[in-house]
Amino acid sequence: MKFQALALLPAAWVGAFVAGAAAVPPAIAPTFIRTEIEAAKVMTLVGCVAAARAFSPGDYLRRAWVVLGGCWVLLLARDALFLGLPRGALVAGVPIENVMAALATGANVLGVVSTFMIAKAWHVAGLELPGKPAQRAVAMALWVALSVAITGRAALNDGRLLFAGEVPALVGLSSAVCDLLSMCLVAPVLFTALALRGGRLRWPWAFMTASLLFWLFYDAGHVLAQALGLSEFAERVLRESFRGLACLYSFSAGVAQALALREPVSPRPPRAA
Amino acid sequence: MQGARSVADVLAQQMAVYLGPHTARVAVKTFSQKALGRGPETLTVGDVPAVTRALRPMLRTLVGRVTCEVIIEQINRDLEVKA
Repeated sequence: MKFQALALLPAAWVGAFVAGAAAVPPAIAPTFIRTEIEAAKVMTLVGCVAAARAFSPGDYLRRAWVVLGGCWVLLLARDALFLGLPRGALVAGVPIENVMAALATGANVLGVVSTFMIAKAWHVAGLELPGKPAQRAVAMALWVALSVAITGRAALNDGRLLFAGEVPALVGLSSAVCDLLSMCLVAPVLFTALALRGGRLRWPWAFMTASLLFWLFYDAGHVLAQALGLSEFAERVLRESFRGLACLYSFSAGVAQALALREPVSPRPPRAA
Repeated sequence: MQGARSVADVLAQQMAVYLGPHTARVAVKTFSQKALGRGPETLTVGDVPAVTRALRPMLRTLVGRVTCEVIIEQINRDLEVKA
């Protein structure tokens, strides 16, 4: 029941967010949206901490969750600077924009590393993912092609801007490249979730897969909004809804990981032979 | 001692709680082959220490050290194996 509640929580969160964004006066909407963004990021960090605490020091997946938590600490630190200091301010003598760029780039790298560690857990455990190698290769190739189609254009644009001398484009480029790398890792995480079906661990892996999928939707939000003919405000709400789902499914994954390991469970009695 | 259940069944059943029945069976097969060079249908109670030793790194990776030891302790209790 707890796991089912964790599955529904992100949808409830986003439902409340969309209703709130539609109800608040336009003058307050940006503050409302920013509050939701930061709350979702804090929830993600809480999930990472819960998951990391469920393991012992030295455990492989504890390291993965700690690295993912580090990603969110850096992102929250960047947002604290963004919200707390004026443009052009100096932090320890360094322009705030550069500090924020460094924090965002560091967070993106940690995000990819943690996703890679989670995706590789199956291999580290010495098991084979379900399906024939050829089937897995085809699924992986299709997924990579989809990821490149969605995030590749943003990476190219930011790359061009960077070569034209626009240093702030480095943040966008690192973000796009890291998104692309993370997206490519969805397939092994999904295969792991499928392999664990029927076991308690299927929940954190399924929620992690959902989180990664919604990051893909977040990246595709602009294209989707254009296709749907949405207004600028509606596009913002759509993209933030995807971000909210991605963050909250990460929270659910972390809490589900902790719940799955917290109480030893006796196996079901065997069926009569 | 378990009546109708084989040693492989007991091993798989304890891990299935966390890993699901499919992966638990695959794990028993993979690691009994690795540890003993034999299939799960040939396992006896005497083979359990070697198989659980082989299963430990896999379990530690996926469920952590503490839960791994809980699972192995439960297997040993079920099969009346002295740790």
